Amino acid sequence: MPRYAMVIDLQRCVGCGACSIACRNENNVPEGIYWSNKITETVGTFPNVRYHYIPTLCNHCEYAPCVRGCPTKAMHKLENGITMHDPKKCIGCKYCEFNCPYGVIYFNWEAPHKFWRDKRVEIKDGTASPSELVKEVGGKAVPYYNPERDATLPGIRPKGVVEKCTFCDHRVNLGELPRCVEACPADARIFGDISDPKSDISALLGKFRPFRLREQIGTNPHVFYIRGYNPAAYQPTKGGV
Amino acid sequence: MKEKQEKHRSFMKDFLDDFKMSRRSFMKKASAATGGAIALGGAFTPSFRTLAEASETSGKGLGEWIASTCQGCTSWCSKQVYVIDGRAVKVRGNPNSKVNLGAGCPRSHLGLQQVYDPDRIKTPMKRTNAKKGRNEDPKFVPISWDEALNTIADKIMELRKNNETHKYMLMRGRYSYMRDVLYDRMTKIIGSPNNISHSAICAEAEKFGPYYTEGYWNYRQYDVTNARYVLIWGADPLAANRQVSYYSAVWGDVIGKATIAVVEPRLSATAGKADEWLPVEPGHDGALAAAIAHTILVEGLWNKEFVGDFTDGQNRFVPGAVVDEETFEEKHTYGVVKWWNLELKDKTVEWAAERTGLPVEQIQRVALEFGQAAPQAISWVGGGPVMQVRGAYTSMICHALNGLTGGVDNVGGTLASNKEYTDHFPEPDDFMDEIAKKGKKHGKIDHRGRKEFPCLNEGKPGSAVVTNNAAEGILNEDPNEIKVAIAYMNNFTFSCGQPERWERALSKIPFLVHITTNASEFSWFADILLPDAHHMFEKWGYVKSIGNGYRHVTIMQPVIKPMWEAKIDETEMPWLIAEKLNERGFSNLLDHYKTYIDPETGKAPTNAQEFALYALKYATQNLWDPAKYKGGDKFNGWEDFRKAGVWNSDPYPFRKRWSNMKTKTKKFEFYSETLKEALEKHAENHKTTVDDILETCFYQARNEQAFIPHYEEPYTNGTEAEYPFLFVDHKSRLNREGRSANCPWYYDFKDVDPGDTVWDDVAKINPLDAKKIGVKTGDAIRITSPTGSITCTAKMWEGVRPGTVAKCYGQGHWVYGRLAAKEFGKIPRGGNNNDLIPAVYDRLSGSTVRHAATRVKIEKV
Amino acid sequence: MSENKGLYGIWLAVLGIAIVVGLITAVKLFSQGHGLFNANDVLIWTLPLGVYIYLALASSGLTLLAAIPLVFGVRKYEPFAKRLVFLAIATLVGAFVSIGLELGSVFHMIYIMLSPNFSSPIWWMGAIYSVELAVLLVKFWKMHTGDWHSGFSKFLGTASFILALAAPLMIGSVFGITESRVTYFGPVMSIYCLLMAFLSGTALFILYSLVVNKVTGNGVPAELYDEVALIFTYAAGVVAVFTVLKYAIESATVVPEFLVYRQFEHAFGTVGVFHTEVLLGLFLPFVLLLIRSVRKAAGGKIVASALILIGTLLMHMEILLAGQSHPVGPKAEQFPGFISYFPSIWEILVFVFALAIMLLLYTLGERYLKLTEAPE
Repeated sequence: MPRYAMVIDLQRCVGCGACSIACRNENNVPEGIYWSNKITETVGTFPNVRYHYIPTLCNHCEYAPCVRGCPTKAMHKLENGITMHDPKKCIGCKYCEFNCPYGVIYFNWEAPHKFWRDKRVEIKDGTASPSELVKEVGGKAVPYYNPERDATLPGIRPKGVVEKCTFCDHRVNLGELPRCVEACPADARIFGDISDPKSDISALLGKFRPFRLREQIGTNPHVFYIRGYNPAAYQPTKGGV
Repeated sequence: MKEKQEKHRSFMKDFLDDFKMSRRSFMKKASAATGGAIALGGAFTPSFRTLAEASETSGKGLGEWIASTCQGCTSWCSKQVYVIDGRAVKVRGNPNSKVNLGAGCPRSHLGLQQVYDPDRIKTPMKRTNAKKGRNEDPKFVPISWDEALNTIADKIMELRKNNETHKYMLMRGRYSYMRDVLYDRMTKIIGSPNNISHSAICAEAEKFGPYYTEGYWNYRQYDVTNARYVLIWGADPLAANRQVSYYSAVWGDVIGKATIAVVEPRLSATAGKADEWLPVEPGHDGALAAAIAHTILVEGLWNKEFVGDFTDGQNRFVPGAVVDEETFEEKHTYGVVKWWNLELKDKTVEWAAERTGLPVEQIQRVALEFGQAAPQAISWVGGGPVMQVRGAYTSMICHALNGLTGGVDNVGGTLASNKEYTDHFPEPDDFMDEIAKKGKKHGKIDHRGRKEFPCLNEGKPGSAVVTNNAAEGILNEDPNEIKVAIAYMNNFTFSCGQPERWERALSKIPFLVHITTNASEFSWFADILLPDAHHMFEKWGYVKSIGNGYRHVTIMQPVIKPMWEAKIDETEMPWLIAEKLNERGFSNLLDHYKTYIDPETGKAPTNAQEFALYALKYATQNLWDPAKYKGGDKFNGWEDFRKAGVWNSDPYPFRKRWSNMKTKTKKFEFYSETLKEALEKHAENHKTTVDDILETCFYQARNEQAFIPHYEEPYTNGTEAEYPFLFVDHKSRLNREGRSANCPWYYDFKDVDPGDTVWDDVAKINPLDAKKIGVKTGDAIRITSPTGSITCTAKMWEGVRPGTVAKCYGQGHWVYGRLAAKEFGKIPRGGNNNDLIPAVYDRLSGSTVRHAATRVKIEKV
Repeated sequence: MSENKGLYGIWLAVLGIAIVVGLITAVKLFSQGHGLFNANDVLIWTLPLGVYIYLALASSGLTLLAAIPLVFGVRKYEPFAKRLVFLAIATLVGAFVSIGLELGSVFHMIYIMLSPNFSSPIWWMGAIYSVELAVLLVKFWKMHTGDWHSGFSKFLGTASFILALAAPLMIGSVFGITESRVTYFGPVMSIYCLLMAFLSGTALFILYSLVVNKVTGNGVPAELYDEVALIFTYAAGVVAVFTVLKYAIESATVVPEFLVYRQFEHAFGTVGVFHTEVLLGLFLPFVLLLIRSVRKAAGGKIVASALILIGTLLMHMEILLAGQSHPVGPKAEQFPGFISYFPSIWEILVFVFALAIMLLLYTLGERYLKLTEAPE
């Protein structure tokens, strides 16, 4: 059984957010919920300023506080290391979201995809309402609904339950890469089996000194970061002289 | 505030504190994890299919990947659309393209929310409120295609009957290379000179520099993976235009191998990931370029192989000293000593520092390192420094650096286009009757070629469009009134500076047809709306694009059934109009279109759908027909090509253009004989001197200086006393040319633009300035320029040069859709930058100005 | 008497209206979702959860107080015992109403039994309170039927006491094992919850009993309440000391999360370094109770206990909100750095609903269940 993990090469990352938008698309995630997200920081004072970007997603921790705290095991670990959620068992207590040290779990505060349920029309008989359009196109709730998501998790999660990144287990099961990995134009994401010493990620983790988010709290996250977002060169001096 | 920031920072630090974790404890945990996994003992080894592999088959998924093209920006990447049961579900880069390499930028995904935009117009519509104006609801009501086409044909026939076909106008916005069917052939055969493209609001000034130095009127491609220095002027390749996908794919390697310097007053996405950020005082880029050129010559860093050398090898480029031209022997360039004597000899680093607001040391460092990297050095000219009133010369001087380094047409340098083999559509001449020929001879509505608009496209005066000035032409009926106009996929009432002029101009046109996906600010003044097919999902067409040392020709195809009653703008619609004209006794247009025969069957088209497909096959036959193979990718036939979706050229032939350039001297011209000829021709046309032309057009150059790349001071509207800030416009990673504003994802991910905020339209102000004017993040503010005013939200951000305010273009729609407008037809969401920007021009290229032209003031509201 | 009857009718009508409004709120929440709350993905738990904690802890406090006669055999307190047990039940029911309306998918609750997670403090909390409710109900039935001292009845008393000790500790540990939120982490929250439970339970009992005495004019001899008031004073003192200690540590540390925590715009304002609700809802009543004459006066007891009852609710809310006031990790990208909060009308109605159910039970219990009964 593999143990899935991801390496994100910050030097390759260009901070474009294609991962996050593609993830929205792949997993039919409603507005306001980010399975794939980022931490940005503008560092310095003009003119010595740079912008930094760290892509984030569920860390699929080995010791996942969300899993430990879930009263019904709705949040659980799969054998392949993926932290998975079963909305059927979710009572909506939001304790996982409260517990998650990485801010990657979101709650469905209302029925998802409100935008697409609207029945208002801007030009009578000339344009459509979102709900009319969804009906015309087909799909489910959204016109570009991806039914493949439904293989392992309800294609769209109802209100009252939490949701988060699943490493695209529905794709991984078919031998495909998680969508954020496929969609990254910079090839900054490398996905694979950390238990296989011959995997690409094992090689990278040995080559670089990786870091993980909030490692000190002991969750053993399985999203690793290598290199730096801005590897800019500067002129060397002897101690600033 | 500062304290607060620091506290926040220290919290962030804690969040990222993990560098401090000891290697050992990490190892222990990692091995524990590994051990656990091994203990579970599965023999299953996952092997992931890469994109290229996956694209060969439809995989185990429910759908199929079908090739098309994204025109969200002018990168024009080849794409694949994932279609399940006739629904477009996902978009990704087409792995078959050697230009975009299967990479897909973030904006490409928003195409899904465009094609499935509920606010797309479903059917043709007509206006029922005869009064036109911004505050007049057009009261559109649906009509049939038949009624719409009949009305249009009647109006055209009326012009033909009255011998006033020159009062017909065609306005073009986003196009594919099927454009000529509608833009060129139809306009000509009807008989009008007035086909007005949008090109001048794009970046024509960017092409001016390359043309008048190396004879290349086009966007360049940059061999970044072989470069050692990449100096970028106001371009943001990681965010906007061009080849965003390609540059995103390789940038992590590029920044490892090359030094990247970005000249821009705002910390752009690219500047955020660069070695050097040069936040230049807006409009003074030319001074920086002059100092870099000066330094390269003084330090003897120019590329001897390309430029040549002093005959005795002794460098006479001493600051302030005039050099004897005879002492220097040039190889592939022309006029380097003239350039030095006329412009560069006094342009020291210190001189530039005063103007650019940049430190002497930084300019010196950049100049030296850039020169030392020659010839693997790129001077990359973007829209920022050149879409300015005197931008033509900035375009020249920034691009001329590539001549000094020998990076032109060279490995690791700046490259032109590869050869491609698409065909022109059949010529229209045989179908132009006397009315048409006479009509076409009239002057153009945009005034190109007049004394004040030299518009020197490819050396020919009056050959470049002045898009934004067409509004003046229409308003003043100069040279004539416009009675019937058709416009497609454009929105000049939003996308041109001082758009209020367009509102008045369009109100004046008695019959205006707008072909569009969404009812836009332009549609608001139209009499008939025609629902347009979305280029990526519903249209037959092709575009060509360069990057990565290749050129690709990528097709767009209807991957889904068009929504509602949409039809294809550039082919189906002109065919349908031609049919209606034919019914009215004017068959020339239809007869012409019937010559676009299907190369496979030899059949002439019999309906609009056939025409759309045959026209595409006709134009691309050389690419897919093995019998006509000329180079690049080879296909077995149309179907083979259609499936791949893209044809790639042969690799770039480096240095083939050295001393074989399309300039007058065939050399890289530092003293542009080509420009001299063009300007003199224009002066001659107007029986005056070049100096008079330059004065009329607001340039500072006189005499010989007119023909060399040089620095000119920026020309700016508004006084510093009244308008303390310079306005810096920039583009978004998610902009699909101003058409993303009705996509929910646009707002939910708006913060992928450094400094921007989700669900808001922010003006980024340096905290020092913000403090001075008593504004803080989140405040509602009004920004006012001499020509207009917008309201938006303030954002304090360190990535902005003090004295400037930076705002992203794209929001501020007052029509377009439920999200785009705060109240449809009435109140904009956010502010449109163009409301602030005056309608001024870089008149040598005809470009509409967006940068460094506007001073603004900021008030809290 | 007829006046009383009239008031009683009005009282029942008010409670009835509140319950109807509460039911409407429940329907609204289940149909439209918890977007009706002024909660979001940063400020996850708001007033309904605070009310749950508050009432659940108060219920535990009442049970702990009941243990004095029932477990430790202090017989002179036996006249309080039945009422205490009943109040504990009714208050716990109120708590369940509040949490029930806080949960997103209350109908999935079956999985608490079908798919228990023994490592989850939420699971344990739910389990303990459920068992507690059952134990209290049986115990009350036993007392009501006159069985105060049988072995089984005594066992029930002891069991309820142990459960009432465990439950607040478990509520505390729901927060206390949250590594991601340093301001909650550790055993402090558990101890704090236990102390607060005892304090608020005692306050509730004193306030309730004295008000009932005033309204019905009958009850337990007033001197007995003086002794309870002394216990109450000690409890307030212990919580006050604990709170000062907590403040001292929080204000001395430089752990970044505490810095952010300190920047939280305190929901109820501050006076100097102290939160208003702590000053007025804890220190002030504590000082009042230290004054013998005030402590002895019925009015003094009522004022002090009322202040503490309000104070403890606000203190729970303050702690609950402050720890969630800043977004965790990437949520800072889409949310402001600090979230301010005021409950929505729906959250207030959940609170009203829970209170109304609780008060209705009190009222009916008081009327029909002979709550001051004690064994001979």
